[in-house]
Amino acid sequence: MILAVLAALLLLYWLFGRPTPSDSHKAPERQELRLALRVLGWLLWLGCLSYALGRTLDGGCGWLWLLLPLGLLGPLLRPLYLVDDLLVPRGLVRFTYRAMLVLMWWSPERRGHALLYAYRAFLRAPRHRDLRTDEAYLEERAKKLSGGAVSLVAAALLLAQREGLAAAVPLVRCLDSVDDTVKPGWAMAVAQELVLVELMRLGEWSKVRVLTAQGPGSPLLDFVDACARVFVPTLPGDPAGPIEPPPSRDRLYWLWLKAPQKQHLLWLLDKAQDHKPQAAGNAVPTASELPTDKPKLEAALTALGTLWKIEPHLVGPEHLRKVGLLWDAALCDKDTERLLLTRALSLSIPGSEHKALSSLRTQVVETLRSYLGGGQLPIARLFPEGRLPSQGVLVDAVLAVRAELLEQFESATGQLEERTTDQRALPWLDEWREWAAIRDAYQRLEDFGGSEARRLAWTSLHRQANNWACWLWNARSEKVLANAVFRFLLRESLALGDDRTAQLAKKNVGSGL
Amino acid sequence: MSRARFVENPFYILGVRPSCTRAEMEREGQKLLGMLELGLPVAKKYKTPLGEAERTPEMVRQAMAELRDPNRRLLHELWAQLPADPLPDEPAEAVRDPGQAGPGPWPAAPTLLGVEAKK
Repeated sequence: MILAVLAALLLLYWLFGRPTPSDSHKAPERQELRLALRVLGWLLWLGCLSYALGRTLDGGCGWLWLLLPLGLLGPLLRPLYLVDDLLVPRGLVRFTYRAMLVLMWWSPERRGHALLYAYRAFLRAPRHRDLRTDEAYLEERAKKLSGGAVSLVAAALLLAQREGLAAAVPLVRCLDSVDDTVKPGWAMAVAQELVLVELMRLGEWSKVRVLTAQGPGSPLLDFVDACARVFVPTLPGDPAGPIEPPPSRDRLYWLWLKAPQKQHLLWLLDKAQDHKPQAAGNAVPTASELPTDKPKLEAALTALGTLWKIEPHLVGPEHLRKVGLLWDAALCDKDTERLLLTRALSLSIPGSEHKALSSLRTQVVETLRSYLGGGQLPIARLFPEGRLPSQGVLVDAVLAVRAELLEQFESATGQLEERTTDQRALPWLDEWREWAAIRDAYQRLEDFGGSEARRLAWTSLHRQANNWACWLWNARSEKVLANAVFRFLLRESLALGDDRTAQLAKKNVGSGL
Repeated sequence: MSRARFVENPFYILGVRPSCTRAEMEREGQKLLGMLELGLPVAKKYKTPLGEAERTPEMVRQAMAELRDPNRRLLHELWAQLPADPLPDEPAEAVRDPGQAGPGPWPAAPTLLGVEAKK
């Protein structure tokens, strides 16, 4: 009892006896408050326990007092038990929201926390229930969000539901440059799960392996990590090879048993248990190794036809290089020229053979470009020797894709510059989405074109993003977003060795939140 | 040039070789139109290097129109240099891209794992 009274006095001193903190140190103050509350809770609990033990020793029904500290143990050890294990799994959206508002009363982003949990409850709600009222309730609450990191994760969940996961993931990826003090671990785990599921949807298991290897553990992440280690035994870019052997079938089964929603993970378990390591694909042939037993045009057509028979996600740089080499040979071949000349004469259109050959080349380039898509196959993998050849159909396709990606990026940054000049403000989420789109375009350009493309885009990115972030900071008080932009610019300028922009970015980051 | 356009090459639709004369092409086209009108099953499919495909009267008419233009015919001839026999499948180990491991895309993952709402 004495301890409990002492703890209450300590809290009263903390609340009323301390000098008023300045606004610039709010985040550390809140952490102190949380720590103080936790200490107070445990002191109160110890007080209750000693009192209950005293009453128990008195005899009679005094032992009943022990129920009090025992009952308090649960909330102390796991404050979110009520929400995590009772409300969210049952899909009780409104209860979850209100409970989180109360439990997170100390947090400046309590609405974001509450909405994030409420969305999780919404996604777990049974489908036979009419969810329209819950949806309307959540949308109404979403309008009251501020622009913090947790609110961003909550908004990403809403986007995933409305527009699909592909729309939400770029937003979540922006969290990597947000200040750590405003990123709670559990919200980041939700964000990481979103990215992970998107990577699994796309079948990018190498990236899944990288992500699960660095993230915090949860039963779902542990299971997916084990499966990824079966599919990709070596981390990409790690020449040393696997340090430990991939998990056994039994281990996979055990992790699957521990994972949530295991009935939906059965597909993945089957694939991992039945997975057999395969040999690497054939090496890329050199020009001298290309088939010579049949006409070159026929060989090129056969290679392209074979490419069309392969599942698009299995097409790799080796295949495209082989097709490119065969077509380069076919388009310069004397037999092809002779065939065209003869056929043009027999069709009574002499002189049109050059136009036909040019159209054929354009169509081949277009085909290869469709396989390069949005830049999923990087130039470094297409041309491992480190430089683009001077000519060829594959080179033309690569240059066309790079030009397209650069154009997309410059269009996005151009819009941002225009808006900053006109001082046209958007709601906080739309500002984040615009930044996410720019970062996504920049990342795709970098992934595809490597450091050369990154440098091409950097000057434009720095000038426009920096001006925009300064405006956000000075005029709009969107400090979390502005700080995230400054941090990203600092990271990039250091990576590119740009000292002038690095100094400016350091100064801006130093302004804090 | 997409896969569909390769499969829908007029020479494969009409079942003639690129070196055929215009009269041969017209005769084969009319024959196929008649067979399709009678509903003969043999005319409803045609062979391509990428396997069999469905043939319709509209496709036959379009193919004939394409081949009547000598400039367009010349380009189609280049794409139809391969005989219509199906190409052999690549062995699995040759198909695999070393950078792409695992069981491939899992499109149902977002819905199954509760990230996207069920439709």
